[in-house]
Amino acid sequence: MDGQSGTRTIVAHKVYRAVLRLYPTGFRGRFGQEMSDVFEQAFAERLRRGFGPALGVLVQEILDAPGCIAREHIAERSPGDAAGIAGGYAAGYAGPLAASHPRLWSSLVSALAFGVGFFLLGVTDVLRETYGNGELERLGLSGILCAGGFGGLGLGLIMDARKKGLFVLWGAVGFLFAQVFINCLYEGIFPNAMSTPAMSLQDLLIAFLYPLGMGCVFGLIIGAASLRGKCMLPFMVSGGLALMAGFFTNRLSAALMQSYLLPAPAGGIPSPEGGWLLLYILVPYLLEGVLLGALLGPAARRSTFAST
Amino acid sequence: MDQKNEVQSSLPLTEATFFILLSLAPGSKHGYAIMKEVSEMSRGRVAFSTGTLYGAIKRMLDQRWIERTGEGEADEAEETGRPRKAYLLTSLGKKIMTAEVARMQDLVQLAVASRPQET
Repeated sequence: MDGQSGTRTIVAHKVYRAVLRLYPTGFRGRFGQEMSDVFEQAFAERLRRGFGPALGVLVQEILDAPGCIAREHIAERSPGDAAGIAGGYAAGYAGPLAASHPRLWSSLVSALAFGVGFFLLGVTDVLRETYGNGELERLGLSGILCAGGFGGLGLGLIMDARKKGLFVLWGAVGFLFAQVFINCLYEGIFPNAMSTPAMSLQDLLIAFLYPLGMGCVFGLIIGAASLRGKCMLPFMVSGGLALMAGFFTNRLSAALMQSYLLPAPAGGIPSPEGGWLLLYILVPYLLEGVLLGALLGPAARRSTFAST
Repeated sequence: MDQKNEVQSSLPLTEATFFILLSLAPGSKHGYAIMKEVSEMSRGRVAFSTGTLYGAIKRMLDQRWIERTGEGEADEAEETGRPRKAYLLTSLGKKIMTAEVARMQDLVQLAVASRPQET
């Protein structure tokens, strides 16, 4: 072996060992040495025919490596382990990031809480539509309590973690009261707005008054429970705007899904059925809750700090 | 699961698994010899990387289709001088190999019998 091919061989072996290190520890411990020996033998034999064929052995190893390495990592771990590892990595990165960005942390906590709550609200709506022909009002009630309760929990963790139980209660009751109150008010002022589709910009603005008003009332109730009269107005406005943004996201995502996932029949309104119903209702609700929470969390934190 | 069911549930084999079992049919071989034998048997069409070879070997060891043997045998191929491990078909591995060959024979017979007549 001349000096040049000796150097090339050493480099090829180093590259191969670097690739070998990517295999799971258990697999490497069991077969690593053998694999390395086999590679060295194959490389040496091909090198007798020239460096090109020898390089082909290394290239084949590198090209095959991603699939083989991924397969062995999956084989060494159960799905639970894999989820745990993924969660661990996520927590490892998200934890320090959130700790150094309190606004981000409050946004994440609140988005998660409202996301869960609104998802459950969507589930109860699906159950009502599917099994109760819209008559199971108790299901609707429990959905609203879930959305408010989880949202209250998220806000409680941000505003005063020691009283989070109280926040759950205030959230659930506040959300229910806000819904009932605004519903009555809205139907009194705009009697036909709920039953007719928006046909003009005015109709659209009227439609958005509902979540705006409901968010304001919800924000007022949570604010009254925690802020002791201070900074309540900004928090109330934040609640209204956040719920309005969430409502807009809900409608927009539903419209986009109906337009692109299941196009409307010619001249008709799309009516998702069966499995589609789940998608059409749950995804917009989830997005609504996540956006509402993501916006309201930092506002809750800001109001709490400003009031103390 | 009894052995007969285990054999049937293991079929069909992947090409890599089949070639490795086939190369071990005459007797025990170490990793590099398996690699060369498979390449020769397939006329160069199947060329294993070490990752593919040892991934398949690991699964077959775990399923007890093959076993490690010849531990402590010195490497005669001068390169490493380390003890070299060889692999050998177990009785289960032989049964699986035989069943796969029989399955392939059935398929070939069926294909020949159903081949459209040339006009």
